[in-house]
Amino acid sequence: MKRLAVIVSRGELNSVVQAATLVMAAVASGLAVRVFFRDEAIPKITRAGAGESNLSDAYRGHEAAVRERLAAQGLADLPALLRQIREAGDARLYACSSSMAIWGVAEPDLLPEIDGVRGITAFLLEDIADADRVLTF
Amino acid sequence: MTVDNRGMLCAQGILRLMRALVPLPAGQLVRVLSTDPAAEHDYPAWCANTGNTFVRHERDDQLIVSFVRKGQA
Repeated sequence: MKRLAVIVSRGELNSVVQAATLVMAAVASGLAVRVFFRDEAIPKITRAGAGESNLSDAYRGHEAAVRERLAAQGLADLPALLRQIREAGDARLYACSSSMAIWGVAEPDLLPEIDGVRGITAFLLEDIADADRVLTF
Repeated sequence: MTVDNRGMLCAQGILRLMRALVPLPAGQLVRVLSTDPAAEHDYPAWCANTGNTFVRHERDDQLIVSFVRKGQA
């Protein structure tokens, strides 16, 4: 089975949704995917922050219409997207421990869809080293 | 059997097709309805990588009808 490692650092809803839909397609196509959420993406995978619908500056002036279209496609509910990814195949979703410390986020604050906390070294030496491709968002 | 992916975009259509195929026996032909133009390339590519067989597309204005045959496991 081919393996894909994905690093998600951006935190806007549209950016995380782009990463999630790509991961969804990869898992549904039989790839094993390991996702590492870090930096600005950390709040998006917390129970408190997952519902925030902040968008990139490029969408300024179009926010309401874009949010409406995302919702119409079922893409505005990030926890539901992550559940679909996990149910579709071999996907593991990790939160970066150092980014969590910077944000003041503890493991119980994370969405239940997140498999666990992982350090960058383990992700580099194990998940990235074993991956056929690495993608960053 | 028909999978109605009209109005769905890219990965979600693939996911719905994958789920629909799970309970079906190998060899079963499935018809997929799509309005996303990406379907013309996505379904053949997905089939080629998952052991399923892409049969053909038919177009009816904005509607793309794709035929996929489930592979072995």
